[in-house]
Amino acid sequence: MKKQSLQELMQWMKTDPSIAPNIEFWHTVDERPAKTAAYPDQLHERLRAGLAARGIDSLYTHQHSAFEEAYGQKNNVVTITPTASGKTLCYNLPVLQTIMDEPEARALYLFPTKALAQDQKSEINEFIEEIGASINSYTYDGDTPPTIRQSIRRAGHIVMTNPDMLHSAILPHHTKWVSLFEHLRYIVIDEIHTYRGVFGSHVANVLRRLLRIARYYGAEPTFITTSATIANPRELAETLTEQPFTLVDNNGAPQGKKHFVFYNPPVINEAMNIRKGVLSEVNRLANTFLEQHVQTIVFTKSRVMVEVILSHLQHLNSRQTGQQSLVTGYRGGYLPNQRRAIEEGLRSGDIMGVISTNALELGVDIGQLQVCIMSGYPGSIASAWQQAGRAGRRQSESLIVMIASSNPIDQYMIQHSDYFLEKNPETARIHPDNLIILVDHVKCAAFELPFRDDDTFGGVDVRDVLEYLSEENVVHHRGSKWYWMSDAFPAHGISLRSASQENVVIIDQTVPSASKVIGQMDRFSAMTLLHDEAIYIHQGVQYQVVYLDWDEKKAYVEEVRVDYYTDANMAVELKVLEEDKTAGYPSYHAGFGDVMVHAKVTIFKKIKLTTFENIGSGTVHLPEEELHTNACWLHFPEETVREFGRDTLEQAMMGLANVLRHTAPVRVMCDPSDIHVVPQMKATHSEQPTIFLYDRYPGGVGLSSTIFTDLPDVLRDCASLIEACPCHDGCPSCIGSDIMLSGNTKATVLAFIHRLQAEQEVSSTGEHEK
Amino acid sequence: MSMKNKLKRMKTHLQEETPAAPAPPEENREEGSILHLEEWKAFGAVPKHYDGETILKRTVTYPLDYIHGSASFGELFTVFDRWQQEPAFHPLHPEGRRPEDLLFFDTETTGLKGGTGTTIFLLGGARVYTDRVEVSQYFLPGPEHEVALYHYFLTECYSAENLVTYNGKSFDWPQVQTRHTLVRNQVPKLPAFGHFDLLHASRRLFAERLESCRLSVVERDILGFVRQDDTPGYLAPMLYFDYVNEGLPEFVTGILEHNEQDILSLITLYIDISKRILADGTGEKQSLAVAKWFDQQKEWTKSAQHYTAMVENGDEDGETMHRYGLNLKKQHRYAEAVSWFEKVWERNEDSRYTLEAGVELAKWEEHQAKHPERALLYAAGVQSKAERAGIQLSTGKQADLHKRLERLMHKRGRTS
Repeated sequence: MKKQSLQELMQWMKTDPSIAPNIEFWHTVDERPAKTAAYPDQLHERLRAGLAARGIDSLYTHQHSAFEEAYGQKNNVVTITPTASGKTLCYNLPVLQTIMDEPEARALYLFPTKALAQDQKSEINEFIEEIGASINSYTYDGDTPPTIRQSIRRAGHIVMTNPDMLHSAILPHHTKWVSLFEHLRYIVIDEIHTYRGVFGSHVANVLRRLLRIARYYGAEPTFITTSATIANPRELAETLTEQPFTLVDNNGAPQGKKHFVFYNPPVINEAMNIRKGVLSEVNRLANTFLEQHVQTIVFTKSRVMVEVILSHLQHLNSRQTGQQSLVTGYRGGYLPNQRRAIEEGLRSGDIMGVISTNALELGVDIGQLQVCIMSGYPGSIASAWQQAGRAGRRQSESLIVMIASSNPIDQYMIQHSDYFLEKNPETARIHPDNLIILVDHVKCAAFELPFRDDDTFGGVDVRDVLEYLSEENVVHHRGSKWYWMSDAFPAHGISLRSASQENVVIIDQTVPSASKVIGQMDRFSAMTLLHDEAIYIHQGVQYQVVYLDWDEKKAYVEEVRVDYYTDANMAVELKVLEEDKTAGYPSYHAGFGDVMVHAKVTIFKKIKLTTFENIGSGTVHLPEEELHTNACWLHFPEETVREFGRDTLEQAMMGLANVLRHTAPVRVMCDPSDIHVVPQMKATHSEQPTIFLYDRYPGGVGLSSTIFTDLPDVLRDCASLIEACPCHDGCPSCIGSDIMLSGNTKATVLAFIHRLQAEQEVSSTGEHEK
Repeated sequence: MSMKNKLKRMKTHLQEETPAAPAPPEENREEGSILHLEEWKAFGAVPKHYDGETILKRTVTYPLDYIHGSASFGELFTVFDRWQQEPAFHPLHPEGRRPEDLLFFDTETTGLKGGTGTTIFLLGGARVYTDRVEVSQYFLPGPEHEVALYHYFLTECYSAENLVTYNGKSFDWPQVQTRHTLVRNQVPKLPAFGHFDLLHASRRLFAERLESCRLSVVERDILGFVRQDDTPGYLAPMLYFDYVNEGLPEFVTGILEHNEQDILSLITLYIDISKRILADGTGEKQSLAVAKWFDQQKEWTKSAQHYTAMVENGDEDGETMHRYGLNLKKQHRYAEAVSWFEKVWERNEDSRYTLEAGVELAKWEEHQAKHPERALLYAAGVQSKAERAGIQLSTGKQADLHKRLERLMHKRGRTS
């Protein structure tokens, strides 16, 4: 039987009665021709020849601008580059030319992951060979053989690494890298939009250390950075590096025709506005495309969903002959060599389909696929565009299908396709001065070079921190300097990636004599995903956790076959330690400050795979985790309680909290799990009804503080989300379903929010800092 | 909340480094001056000033007939004379150097994990002159005096290109390079690096019979030297931090003495190991280690002396005979080599060397003697012996054996 083409499949979607009515919006982005500029005058002969040999006789406009700025003017540059727009030339041309001008010159490339660095090394080395230059470019990471490390340190013109390696292996040993630091001309940071939240805050501090060391050796490097489309690329680059930047956003890369389909599964319960599950729709579409051998990538929001969807598509593999799977999963937790094999399979076309978390959003080279299916809105517009970029070869058509869940933000997005397609309201935030993070890196910096009394760290006066460290006997003040005075190696105890220091290792002991490590997980996720009796799914295989050894950070699992998955709940208690900012309004107060959170996982539910019904539960015995962080809160005094009535107020608060869980992370561009929303009818600090929003990282990373500042916008998002929801009286897609009492709950919540908004507008001068 | 108060509240979230000393009492300290100078002088240490910085230099002298462990220091001259008559190459061979060219060298640091922040606070070295042994120690009284430390060490010990250390190649010297880099514009250049590392020598000669090759174990079990009231090396960082905080010499005098003993032991150990290598085959078990070491330098005739002595002394160990065979083969003395391989093969011990001797015989029969039938017998014999006794050849040798078997079977098929 002849396979159907993508064209035919799109026609089928437009006409099939079970598909067509669910398409809320079909948006076509027309083919866009390239915008080019002649080679810059200064461009080196050999680079011209090299480009010409590849059939490139002009540069895209953004590549041209990046070269003029970074090479010609030595300005720090941030370029906005969608997937597959030739961004590597934006930094490779200035760097290669500088090294050809001055063979002593050095460049440091930072990629968010090891895999990306390895891809880029192959690419640049091919080009270097073609132009016949004697330029050494190496990756330097955990896989680099010790035998060649010394020559990389001495003679590597371009060193490609990741922030973790820079933090723990290069900076603490900077004296071995003198020739790199003395002649450091460029620092290239790829995909800077990934450096946000906790990770970004750590990386900003690693860069403070890097610049401190570069200056010690007399270098003032120029930054060249690239970013996906976000609202504030320049601001982010400037906060990360504390340097002024020039923005290059005149993307000139061509693009094939793209079809953007907003797909809303049909409503199956009118009153409750409950829609058919995303999962079954994803399975159906993915199955159809894959059966016709149209290369497809499916993005999901969680590791568990990767495995659930994979299990539904597994039957395609069983029809396949030979070793290679037709469909495979891809996510954090797979071992590196497994991942490399999958990437290779996708590039070669041996693998037709991949089910992935956002791990594949980053520029890992897997070639370009034909279809991208998003199972739910990925949580941010930048992320959605990154995922969409995975589909679409330059010359041919591609299809992106976003399938909405009943989740409020999904529904909001699918009905506001203009918001998605035209606006770009997201802002990447980092908070480099988070005290915990700052102290960690001041320690590392003191280990690397002593601080002088008048030194700042980045722009921050760290005398207090140094005095604290001196009281802790970690540094020692002598004369006018602070010296490291400890036998520890501080970088080894500090992880850039997560709050918790240790990962839990997952050990498969199905065959006791051949137990093996199959993956790992951070400690916080492990609390909810690897507790005793949890069902853990890995590569489509179900495992049950037999025993979670919390002290040793090991989870022992055995293969099982069950028709349910598990979902654990985390209970939290909150105490306000200090109020830093307040704003008073007639019926409520907003506050921001330090809080102490006690979190504990106590129970889990077993949920049937096919129907999602709750079929049982169990208890979890894990110690309480303590978190000192920042929070923003709204509390309601006695008069408001009397006015609304206690029950009504409770409904309104729970409704608002439910909406906040979805809108707040979008506003501050973080993962929904980075910020927690907790409504309490009797908060410990005020004895009053209060809604808390807190950062899930010790010390806070600026999320709740942004929410406090942007409260009017956040409330507006909440109101318009509820207004846009087509349900009659509140549903899980807006105010949630836990609060169904009598009366018009949806109207109550909305009225409540409108009240908060109105009071804010009247007294926008009420805010003051303590 | 002030930054410092916040820090105190968040203490549970902060990583704690190894606690060093209790809080420093800021007693009448004058910056740059040394407290308790009289006690230091009584300990043999004097302050030396350079460019506003001060360090302490301690010198201790020993006569040449002083016995430390299994030898007197003067024996270094005897050992040197014997080395000069030895034409074979060896990593410990002093070549054209004189005894006083060697600098027996050891450091004490603020940590064992390396990295730029690990400071060397004591550089100690000893030289053996024609009339005495002189130990010089350069002590850093505080982190702000490093320029003076490297200035004096490098000016006074300039011929440091002939270091004798214990694991200095991978620890002490890289750390010296690291710290030197930080002051490199203010002090002399580091000399070229030449090195005798006695840890490697000890591993080769003693690893099999010692619980570990730590210097203290080698001292006790090989040199017969037991320390009295020693300050263990692992305490050095803590004690040094206490000293920096409080300025009392008694915190660190024990470390200086410990460092001095380490350095003296290096002299005796160099003498001891040299004697073992230079002995023309004592026939003792350790001769095998010495012979293997010479084999590795491709000094075949030199190692053959040791093998000869061992087998003449009645050593019937499979490894000794097999290695002797390999040695003879390298010297193109094939007939003799084959006879040793045959001896090992005929003893038929359950050992790797039996298999390897069999492989050598198969090679010989196939390529030199041109007896493919016999070669096949040996190869098949090795294969079945390996299976029966559950011994494995290395992966590479196993693969070679398979190829050899296939080839020989094929040959037989063709001729029969």
